[in-house]
Amino acid sequence: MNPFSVEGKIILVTGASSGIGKQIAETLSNQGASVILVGRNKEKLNETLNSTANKDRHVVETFDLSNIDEIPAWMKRIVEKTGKPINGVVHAAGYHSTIPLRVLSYKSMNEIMTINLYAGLAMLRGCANKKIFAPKSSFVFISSVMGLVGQPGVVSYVASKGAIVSAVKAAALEFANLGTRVNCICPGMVETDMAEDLFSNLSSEQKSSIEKQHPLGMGTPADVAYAASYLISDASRWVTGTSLVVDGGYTSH
Amino acid sequence: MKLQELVESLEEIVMVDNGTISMGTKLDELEEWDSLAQIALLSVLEEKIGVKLTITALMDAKTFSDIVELVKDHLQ
Repeated sequence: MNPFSVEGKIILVTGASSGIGKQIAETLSNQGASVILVGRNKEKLNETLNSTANKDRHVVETFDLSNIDEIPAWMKRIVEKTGKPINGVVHAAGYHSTIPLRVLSYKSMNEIMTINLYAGLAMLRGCANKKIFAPKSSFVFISSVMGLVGQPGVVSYVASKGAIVSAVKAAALEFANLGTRVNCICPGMVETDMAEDLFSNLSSEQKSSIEKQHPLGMGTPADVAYAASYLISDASRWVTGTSLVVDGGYTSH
Repeated sequence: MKLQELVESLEEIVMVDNGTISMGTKLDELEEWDSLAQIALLSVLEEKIGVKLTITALMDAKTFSDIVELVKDHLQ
């Protein structure tokens, strides 16, 4: 059997209504996985569902990931509905905000940490259960090159993404005896609505400067989805606690 | 948000003492009025009065009264 295949695996993908999460759901479905599409907007999730292969293999789940303590019970309910444990999670849901330090409030720090980090950690807690998360499974966080390097104006975003890079190391050690792997992907600048939003607040010089810092140009959601597919597949059986940088060379400077 | 709160927010953002900024204050005479300060002000305006201005609108402002003009309908 092809070690890169995700055929028959059941994968929960958060942030599936847009951007990178949406593409990951589509790519995994094209590769034969069954996907649990998670987001807050049912209409957008259904749009994602309509662009997947084998629609009847997938499930749409609306849930607000800011309800941190309810996450493990919610995951249990999903597995009770589907009747089978999950084989993988890709936590692609996340916020970006540009808030310079001089006006950074607890409220905005907490919002970003809650979705970017705490929700992922709560899902890891949900996965500490063999009935919910089958042994030899794979958990993937979507971090960012902003978890490895910084930019002015985005300290809380950088902090949340950097925390992921560290968290996966400890989580990997906790799950190693189950053969389960925990990793993150650090994408560079990818063409999504979130990037559009970011760019709308920058001058054209700033925009062009960011683009020039990517030797291979800006990325596409598919570039990240292929990396997620690799980490979800058995081909990455021996990869854990690490960050897969997918950034067109951005962090090479 | 009251006008005085907007004044104080901007004074904090450009790191000047309270009482420095008035309607006629020229923005390019404020040493810390750079793109980061502009983004900080955009963020405060969005959070405090729900107004989403563009960076170009702020870049075009020459005096503090130009900024007030952009948000006057939302000030108390």
